Amino acid sequence: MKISGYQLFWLIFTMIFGMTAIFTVSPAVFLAKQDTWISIIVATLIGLFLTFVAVKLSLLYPEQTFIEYSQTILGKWLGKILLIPYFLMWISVTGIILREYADFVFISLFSSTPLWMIILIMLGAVVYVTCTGGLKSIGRCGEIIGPISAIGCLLIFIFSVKDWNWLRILPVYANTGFLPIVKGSFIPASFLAESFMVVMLIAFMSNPRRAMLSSLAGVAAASVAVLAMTVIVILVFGPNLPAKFIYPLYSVVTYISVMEFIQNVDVLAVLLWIIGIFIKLSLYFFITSYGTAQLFRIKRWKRAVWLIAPIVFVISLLPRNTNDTMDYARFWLAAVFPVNLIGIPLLLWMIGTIRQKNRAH
Amino acid sequence: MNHRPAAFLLMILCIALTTGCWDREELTDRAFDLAASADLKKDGTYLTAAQFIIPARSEQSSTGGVGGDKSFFIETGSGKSILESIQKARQKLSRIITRGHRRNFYIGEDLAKRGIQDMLDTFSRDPGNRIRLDLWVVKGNTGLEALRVSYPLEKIPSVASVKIHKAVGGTTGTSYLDFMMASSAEGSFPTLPAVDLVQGASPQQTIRFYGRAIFNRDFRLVGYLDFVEGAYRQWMLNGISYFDLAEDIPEAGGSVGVIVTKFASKLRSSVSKANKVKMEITLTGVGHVGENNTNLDLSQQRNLQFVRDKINKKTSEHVVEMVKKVQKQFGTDVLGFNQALNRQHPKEWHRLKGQWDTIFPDIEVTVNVNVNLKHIGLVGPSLQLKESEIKK
Repeated sequence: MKISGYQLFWLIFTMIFGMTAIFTVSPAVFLAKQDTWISIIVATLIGLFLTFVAVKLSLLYPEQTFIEYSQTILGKWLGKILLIPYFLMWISVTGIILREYADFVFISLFSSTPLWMIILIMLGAVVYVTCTGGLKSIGRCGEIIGPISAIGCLLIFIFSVKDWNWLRILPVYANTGFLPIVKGSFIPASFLAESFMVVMLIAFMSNPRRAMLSSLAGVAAASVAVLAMTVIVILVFGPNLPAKFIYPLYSVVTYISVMEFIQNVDVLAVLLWIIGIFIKLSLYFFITSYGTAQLFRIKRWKRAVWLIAPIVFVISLLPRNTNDTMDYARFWLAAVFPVNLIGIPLLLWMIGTIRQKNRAH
Repeated sequence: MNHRPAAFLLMILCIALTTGCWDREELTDRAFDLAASADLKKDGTYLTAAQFIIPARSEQSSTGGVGGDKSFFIETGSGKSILESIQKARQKLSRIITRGHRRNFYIGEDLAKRGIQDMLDTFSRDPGNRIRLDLWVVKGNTGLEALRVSYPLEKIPSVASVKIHKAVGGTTGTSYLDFMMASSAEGSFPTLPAVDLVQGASPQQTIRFYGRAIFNRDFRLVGYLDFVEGAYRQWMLNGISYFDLAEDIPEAGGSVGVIVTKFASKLRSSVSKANKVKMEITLTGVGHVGENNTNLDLSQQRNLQFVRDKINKKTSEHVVEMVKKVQKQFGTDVLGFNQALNRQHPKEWHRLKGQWDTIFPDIEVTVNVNVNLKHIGLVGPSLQLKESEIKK
């Protein structure tokens, strides 16, 4: 189970871009209006910094996964206690993403198909890819699917050119101000920071030295794509409407009409979403299963898949409606983001660096 | 290799589960809604109607349209909300309504006057609806009548208004979203394109692109701009691609018609210390002389410049009249003045935006139309003129 730097790049790009573009534009525009593009740039900087920390942390022990080196750094018991919030986060977010995916597909494509069926088909694909080759298969999927996602992004960009009105993005800064722009950047940043999962992936890299470049490039490329989508949404819908749409990017895509000929290309947005979700789910699913196996010292980690899959399935059925999954996104921003994605990694990195220096002396 | 049989079985199971549609809604189970309308009934309820395509007839090439077999039919329903009245219409339909191809929605004048805020939400909430939609106000008539018009050139008559709108240089499909953007922005008022029904040359009525309907903050219709006024407004908002200017030039004893393309506009705002707002509007375009009923020889530079200056001056006056009409008669900012001020003087805008509705009617407007006559056509002076009559 080895992945290359190139594969890591596409994995990170695909998993971050799809979700962030469809899910975070609406709340960001709600706060930052026509200056959301500045928010996205701020979010990109936050995301890049957190990715840098995560990669640096992993490179302290490039042969070990997060599960192992957190125990190496903090000692056996403290390390295990530290892992509890991560397992909670990984399991819950896998279930919630599955549900968000199902809700979106339900409303845009299959409004008569039972929700559990949509979830089950996706879960089947995820379990299959994880079981057959683990990270190796996911990496190869990313290599093929990632460029498709990038092309889809490019197509949305080109098709919507006709409906752009540059005046809609003006005036810059005057209508919002510093605080709304920074506040608006937190939600996109909390999604971009999911690149934190590299802490579990770098141990599988054939050449860990390339991890830093691949991860940062992946986050940067995804951020640029998200930025482009955000600008498109504002140029087409103006500063007030996007905040009211649940999926503004999807609505922009339904609005596309090129020469009265290319119309109703909603499938494009659904495609971006589904493939992004697939990669993201597979990665989270793999990390959770592999991590569980490592934590409980299960020899054959694939057995853990059959433990995690039912739990994830049940969690995905728990939310009563889309508002519940939105609440989870708020919880993610308020608790998971500062603790799991900023606080603990920074702490671990500092302690780990100090310990390694001490050992060197 | 020992896990292959299981995977194989699983894949066969997938084929059984995922092929085709889950609920089998096929083309023959769908009714394609191409245009719809909403009107106000006497008792205050909505009357909605929709034009459905008849697939069997629309395939016959020449018979559609006037007389005989129409390729569409209309079904109506009424209720206290749009959804309820559609429900009533569905009681008469053997198929499920599909709105993926709907381009037009006609609103009767009575309903527009009473206010349309209760019917706007459904267009964007229901994923079956397209937001690329044109809402039309039917001036002096009902939406249902607009649907009933059978337009000879198009097999499906409701396509006509979209095509007319495009042919006269407008933007199509954007009016619903523009309406929503204008109503959600501070200081702006929403507008919709308007059509009316007129007696054409043929015995039956035909549909005509009238101009622009203006709404107030309660989404009630307050008035119309006619076709030319509407075109001036679109020119100011950069939403026009074709326009014919025809102005009298009494000094030269006739009129000159100019076809304008390549439109651009610039709004320059300024605020004085006493909170007086000034708006300087510059409209530019490239003109091609389409008709010259004067005795001027336009191949002479001097004459062409004379005509150009006259046309620009006259048109400027007409644009000012339109702006005055909007300011004094309606008092609604549908000209993008608020956005221009917001862009150019954000600080002043934040100070003034609360009282914009009282400021707007008193804004001092100067208009400067600048159409550059690039082409005079294939002849200099008109061919029928004698040598002595031509003014060099």
